Amino acid sequence: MLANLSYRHKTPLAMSLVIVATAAVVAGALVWQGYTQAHLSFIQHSQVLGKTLARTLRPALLHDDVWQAYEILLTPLERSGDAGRALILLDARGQVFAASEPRQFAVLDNFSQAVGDPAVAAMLRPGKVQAVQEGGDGRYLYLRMPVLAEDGTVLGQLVQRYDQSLLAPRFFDVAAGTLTAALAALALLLPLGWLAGKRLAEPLSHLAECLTRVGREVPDAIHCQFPHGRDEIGQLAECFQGMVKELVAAQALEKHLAQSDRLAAVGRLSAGIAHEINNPLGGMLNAISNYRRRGSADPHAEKTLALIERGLVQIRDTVSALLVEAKLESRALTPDDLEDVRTLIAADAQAKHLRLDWDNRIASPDFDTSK
Amino acid sequence: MKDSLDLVVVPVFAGQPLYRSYLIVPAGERATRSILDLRGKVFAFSDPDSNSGWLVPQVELKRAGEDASRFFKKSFYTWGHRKVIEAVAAGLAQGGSVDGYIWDSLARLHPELTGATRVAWRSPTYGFPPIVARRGTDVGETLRHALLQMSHTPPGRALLASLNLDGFAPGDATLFAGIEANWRYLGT
Repeated sequence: MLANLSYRHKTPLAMSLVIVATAAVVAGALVWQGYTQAHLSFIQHSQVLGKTLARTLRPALLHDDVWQAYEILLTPLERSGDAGRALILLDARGQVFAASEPRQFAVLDNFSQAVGDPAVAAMLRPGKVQAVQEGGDGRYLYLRMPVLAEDGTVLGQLVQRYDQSLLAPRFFDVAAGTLTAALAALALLLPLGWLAGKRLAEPLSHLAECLTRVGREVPDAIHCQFPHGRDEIGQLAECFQGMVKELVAAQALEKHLAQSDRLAAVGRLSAGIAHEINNPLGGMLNAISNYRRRGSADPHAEKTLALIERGLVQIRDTVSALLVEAKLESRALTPDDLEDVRTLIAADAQAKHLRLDWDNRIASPDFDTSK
Repeated sequence: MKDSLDLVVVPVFAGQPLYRSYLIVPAGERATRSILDLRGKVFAFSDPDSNSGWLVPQVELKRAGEDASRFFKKSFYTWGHRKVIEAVAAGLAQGGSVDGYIWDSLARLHPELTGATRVAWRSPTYGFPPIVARRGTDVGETLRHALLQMSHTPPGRALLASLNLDGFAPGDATLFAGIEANWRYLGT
């Protein structure tokens, strides 16, 4: 089906798909980057909170004041929307000293056992540096912050546990912002891409239309204009124009050949007719010539024979003109021609008792009747 | 110290100038009937100077022959009766000792808080913590007169109602003999 689709649609469609795919990839990358930054920012914010809480919790650990520790742990969680957050203060032995979720992390419970996560247990090894660890099931993020005495002794550890679903709103915020920007970009780029694709495909479509006219129309009627250029379309157009020129030339040659054929046929017919006429004509001219050679002295007969001879010569010349390569040579008027007229009308004039006044002073042309 | 103080009045709660110490546990915990059932648990005291929040449970344990310092897995002070209730309600402690008047009053004002706890045991009555004045001043007499008259005026009654008290009574030192006896018992 795609193979039957015109490039007029295929090219804009392909460009649009490329634009959409590009927008999707860029949006995905931006969302991922935004989410990563939000995650990092969340951790940094939590670490700052952990540092502050660790300093505040130091007196409670020193004075073994569970209630004070509990109230301090609740302080950052008093806002609404703090579900999924838990703060746990561990003593130096890793037992729960106080927790914001006392039912889940009871006082003096072993925290590692309560969590049951080897990755978290490994994170809780005593140390003076903070640590970040994702739980084995990926649901929770754990941050450990040591609680240090003035002399640097480790009094306990503050553990912050965050449900990673807390990052979902930030992710959706980033995704919504990116999606809005991507849609705005698509709204601008898609029409431009479609237009550009259409303009790119236009010369090709025009060329295809012109090619379809070849064979259906005479080459002379095919007049197609293409934009100038040396790109592939320009080269194709140039070839097409050359082809049309050659077709026009071939058509002219064919026409000329057909005309020549017709002329040759007429020539052959004329030659045949001329041959058929010339044969008896030559016989008659030879007969006149033989008669004169025997020396007839009859002036009237000579006059008549001359008239017949001129008529036969004229017939011969006319027949020769029928031949394709023969040229009709007109015979100049001679004084004898006029005398022939006088001979022909003399009998009629005598029968009607008419007097004929004759004055023939036409100069004789330089003409050889034997030819 | 009591020789340097004059008893001004004693608040009247539930018709008597008396109150109790309550042993409270989380509402879902149905087994505990006395403090002896809380061995090895986490326990919340209100204040080391409180009769109901510290002295009464200490005496109960001593009478049972228990060493209060080792009876619980861990104990701590919340420095307030209400906070004992909060600690037990939240599950931070599995038991606590609290002023009965405070628990009953909060049960009216914040039933969602006290509803998360259960009173497992009520102590005998003790004299309600009184209002005292330094001996040798007339402040005590003026104050006594004013407090005794509160229940006779509408504003006074409104104020007393907000405090969940019926009024004030003159009272006498014998009301606090039980507390004194506990104190002496624990000191021996």
